[in-house]
Amino acid sequence: MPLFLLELEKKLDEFAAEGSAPGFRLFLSSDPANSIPIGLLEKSIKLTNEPPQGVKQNMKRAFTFFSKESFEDKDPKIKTILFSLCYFHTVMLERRKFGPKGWNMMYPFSVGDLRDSALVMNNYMESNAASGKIPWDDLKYLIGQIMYGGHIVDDRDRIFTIAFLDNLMNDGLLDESELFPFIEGKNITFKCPAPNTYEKYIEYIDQECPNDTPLAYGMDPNAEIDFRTG
Amino acid sequence: MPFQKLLVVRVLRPDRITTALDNFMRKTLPKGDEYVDCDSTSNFFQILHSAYLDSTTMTPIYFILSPGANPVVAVEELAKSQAVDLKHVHKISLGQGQDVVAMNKLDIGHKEGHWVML
Repeated sequence: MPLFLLELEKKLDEFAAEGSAPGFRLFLSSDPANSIPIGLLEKSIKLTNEPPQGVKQNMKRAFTFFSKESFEDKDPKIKTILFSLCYFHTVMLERRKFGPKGWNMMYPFSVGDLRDSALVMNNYMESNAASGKIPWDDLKYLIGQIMYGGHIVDDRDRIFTIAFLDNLMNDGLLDESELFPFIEGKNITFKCPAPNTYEKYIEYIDQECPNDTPLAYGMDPNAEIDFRTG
Repeated sequence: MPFQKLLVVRVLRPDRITTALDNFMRKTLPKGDEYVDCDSTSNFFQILHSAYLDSTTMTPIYFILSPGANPVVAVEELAKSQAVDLKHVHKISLGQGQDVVAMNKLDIGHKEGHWVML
């Protein structure tokens, strides 16, 4: 790769000397690597799409992934589940930064999992709307075993995921239950809000979501010492 | 004083230094809030769009990717919003022998004013 990049750099210099057609744009993408020629980097506008840090940023990123239009005409129940799904997504992603304390392996959870989970949940809810009951078990299976669970290959990680979903996705969710697990008496709270408009949800995340703490992911506060000092 | 506080935090709670620095910048720098929050509220497409406005024929846009990120969709969306025909956006995944293809497309893009994504 470095060889090609050097060639590319030369080529760009030639282009610059000749002057390109005005519409010409070059987009490059690569992993972060030390072998990228400095000259090329200096020329370019660098964009990183760093995963956001912390519960609040992650919640926001996950939630804003859904467009306002598609969100607004959803059933209130679906809105609530979608919000909890964003939280679940955040937990799955953020536990990775704790190293082996979070997951036994590095899993490539991505926004694609969130998108597909939301899609499947939506379809499933709509086709089951007539029965009036929310098929929690089916949803948990789809999300925890198939979508996110599809990445998981360690039995203990799987146990965690299922247990976490059991705690999160149940009828209590519709009564504004607490999202963070096992935090009684810890002086921190983040409740599932009542169904609302898109903006209100974002406002809610902005105002009510506590600062980042391992408690949000069901972990001990000391779990973060490792990566904050590393 | 805020700086001395940082020193104490650094010694006693190194795990808290990033948070402390964040707060320090917010309080001490003029418009510190804006600096710290930066573009955290805009989505990737908005960021890309503003980068596009800064780009020229001579400044490529370089995506440094983290696992799972895929800018192709965003670039195609950008092309649509800029009324660039998708036929004029060439995407080449580099690998075995693709460097020749890429160079060809670069020449085409250079002459015709197309977009090239590598």
